[in-house]
Amino acid sequence: MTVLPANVPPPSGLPTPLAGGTTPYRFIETARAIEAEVAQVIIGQTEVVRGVLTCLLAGGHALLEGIPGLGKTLLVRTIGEALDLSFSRVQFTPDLMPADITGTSILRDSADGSRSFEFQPGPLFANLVLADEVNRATPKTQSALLEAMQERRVTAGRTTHSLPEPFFVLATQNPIEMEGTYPLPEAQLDRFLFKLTVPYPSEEDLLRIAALTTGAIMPHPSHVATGASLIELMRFAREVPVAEPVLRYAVRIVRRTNPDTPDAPAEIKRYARYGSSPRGLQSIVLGAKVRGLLEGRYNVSYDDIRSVALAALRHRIILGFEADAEGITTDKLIHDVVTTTPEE
Amino acid sequence: MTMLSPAATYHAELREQLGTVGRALSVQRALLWLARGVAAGALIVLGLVIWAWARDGSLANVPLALLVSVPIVLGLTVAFGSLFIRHKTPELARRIDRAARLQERSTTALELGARGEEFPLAVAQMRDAVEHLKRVDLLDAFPLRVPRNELMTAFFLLAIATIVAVSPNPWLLRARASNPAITIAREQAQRVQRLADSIQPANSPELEALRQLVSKGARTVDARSNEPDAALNSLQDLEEQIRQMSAGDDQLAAALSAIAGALAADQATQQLSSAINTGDMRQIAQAAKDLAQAAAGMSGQDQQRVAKVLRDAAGKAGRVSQSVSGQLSDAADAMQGATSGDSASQMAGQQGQTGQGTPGQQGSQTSNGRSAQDALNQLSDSAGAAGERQRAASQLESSRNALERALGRTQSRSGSSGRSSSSSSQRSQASSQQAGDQAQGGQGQGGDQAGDGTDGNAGGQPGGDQGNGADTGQGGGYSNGGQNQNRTGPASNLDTISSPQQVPSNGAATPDQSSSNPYLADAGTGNAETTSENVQPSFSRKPTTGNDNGSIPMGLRDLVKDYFSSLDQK
Repeated sequence: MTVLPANVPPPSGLPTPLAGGTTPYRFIETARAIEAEVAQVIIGQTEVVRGVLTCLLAGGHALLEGIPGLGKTLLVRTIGEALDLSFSRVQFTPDLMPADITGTSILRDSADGSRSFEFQPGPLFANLVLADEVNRATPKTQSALLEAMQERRVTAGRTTHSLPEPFFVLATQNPIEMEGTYPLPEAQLDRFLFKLTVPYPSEEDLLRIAALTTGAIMPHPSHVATGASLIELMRFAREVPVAEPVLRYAVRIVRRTNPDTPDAPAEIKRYARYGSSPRGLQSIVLGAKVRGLLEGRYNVSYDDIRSVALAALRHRIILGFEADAEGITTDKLIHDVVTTTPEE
Repeated sequence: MTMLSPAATYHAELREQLGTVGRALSVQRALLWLARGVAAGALIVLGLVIWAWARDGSLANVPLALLVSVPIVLGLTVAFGSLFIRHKTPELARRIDRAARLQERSTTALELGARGEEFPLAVAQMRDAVEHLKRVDLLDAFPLRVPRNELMTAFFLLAIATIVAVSPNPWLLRARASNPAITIAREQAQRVQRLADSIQPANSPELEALRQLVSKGARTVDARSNEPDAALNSLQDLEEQIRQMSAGDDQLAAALSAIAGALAADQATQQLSSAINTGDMRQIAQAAKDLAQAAAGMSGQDQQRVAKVLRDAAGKAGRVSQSVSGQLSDAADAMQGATSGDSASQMAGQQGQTGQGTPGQQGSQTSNGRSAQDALNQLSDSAGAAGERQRAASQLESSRNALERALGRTQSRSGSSGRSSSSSSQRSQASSQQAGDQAQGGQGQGGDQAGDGTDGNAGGQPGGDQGNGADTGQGGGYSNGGQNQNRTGPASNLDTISSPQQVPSNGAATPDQSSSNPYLADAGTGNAETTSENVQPSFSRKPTTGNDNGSIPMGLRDLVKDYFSSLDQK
């Protein structure tokens, strides 16, 4: 639950309404309302909820990873319900074809007897797409998401179709060690702003889940934001200023994930095959801007950078064989990088 | 009136607040550097103390005020200097962000203001930063921390310095135990310092210079006492400097000797004559001072008589010392003038005029404006200064002898210098005799010294007939432990006396005349008329004089010298 900081003035006071009428207060109020609606359905998992929300406000896609049954799909579906957006769900299976998600052109008879191909949009044509168990589809189908996620458009035949704004892909995946999974290619992983790991609920959370989900009445979230207001908030978040020292700190962190960087930690040089791409830096800065706003500030702090670094980088560092052999995870390497990178 | 934009206003306000932060940080930094300066000063003090401790005795020469002031002055200087080092504004922003947990608000706002950003979120951010900065309690953010580490360091360093200062140096103690000469050297240094302290300048520049010279020499000897050879060299240097200062004393003594006879002719000046005959310059100085005081109360007739005696004496002194002659002449002129003045006043009184004594007063002064009292007082001062120099020379010689003995050099070199600073009338008398003897013996003194260096084994053996230069050269020689003390320099000044010397009570004498000295006779049976302190300096010169004129057999010279040296030490 986000608590409004003391320095945020009430709506009637300062500061002056910003572009499009959005104020920091409104930004935080909207975020808090979404979190509150989701919290009615999703018990616990506050960090994951905050991460997904950050992704949405930053205009990025999120990849949720966790074992089956932790509420990943429910979480995404609940967020979709809390936002007044068009929502579609795609269950990825090994036999799912690209056209099944992008859409296809079908032959249609017209009234005058002529025949023509007409594009039939697939489930990608929605504001919020839930790609459930995305790593159960073949790489061919997974790649069909590439253009949609990056360019926010779909090409079918000779025609390119734009996807609606805003467009978010919230994908869930099972850990790759599980049966019947195909690891996502690095290029596609890079398209996700954050990769969030869904932890196992605590005992208290399990008790509440049991009580809530086995009763006669299931709570249903109501719409608290529209697509238009979400776009406005996204633009607002991008205006948050970042001081140069803070920006440099983010750059240093990203550079030090690369094993070829001279001042990279020894663990990175030993275990990492590839470090983060510049998209990782963009993800960190965008995520940090949103986090700064959600914390009641109009600027980005070092803490913001540190907070989002793990989610923004964990799917962008490719480990080598030695790391696999020794059980080294990207989370550990990122933790090492963040703790050893100086602020100044 | 120009209205600033909100962003510019916030930026200015932000800079002002950061300036306040800067001042708070400067005070904090000054405190820190004050403590660091004190610690550095304590380190210097410790270094000084250890340096002095290792050199033994030098610690006493390091002023306590210096030791105390070094840490304080260094600390204050460094702290004051640190106040002039300005903080950079971005650095201040970063520090306040960190200290007050402002989450980089100040840093961001400062940057936005510097870039002149005016977009709404930038303005809101700057306003937010200013508001947060206003709420920061600087004492909370930057508490006035007592720099404990630095102060504890300074305390421990000073404690160590104190412990070192009061602790004896075991190496030096061991060295001193194994070399008693070190202790002797220190004792002699203290003796010389006491000598310096005993010299009373009494407005005399000559005495003040002497006191300073001896005092400085004492410190030098003390500082080098751990190296007795060096201390001995210092002592010899000091002796040499005193000797150079006493360059005119021989002339003064000779002049006084020359006038002793003339002064004995009158009762008023007989005391001065007797004093001159004792050879004690301090006694001579006192007698001259007494005569100066007595002269003021003399009748005209007495003054006439004394003036005549002084004029005679001036005539005799003129052959040896122009200054003594001049002083006596001035005194005689003044007395003569006073007598004329009194006569003139009396005559004026008889004629009913009111002379008011003015002519007499005018007549009591010489042409150069000096009174008889002034002239005699000046003579007294000169004699007094010479007396102090004599005493200092004697004391230094004694100290040197003691140190030489401690170093195993048993030779007394008082006579080997080839010149004597003694100025007694006896010496003058003996010199007259020696002059004649050496004319026969030819380079007797020189021959003696040549024998010293070449025949080290001959030390302590009788030197034969001192009056015969050839004999002296063959049989003489002191043992100097094998060291070559060859002194083949020119003959003593005693050989070159060219002016007639006054033999007491016998009137004028030519250089080839001699007479027996009545003052060398056996002492009478009467009671002592003076304390030993008064006569001791003059008698301490006896062995030197004896060495010079050869009246002490060569084999007994060391014995006599040591005896008088032991008297000096008492």
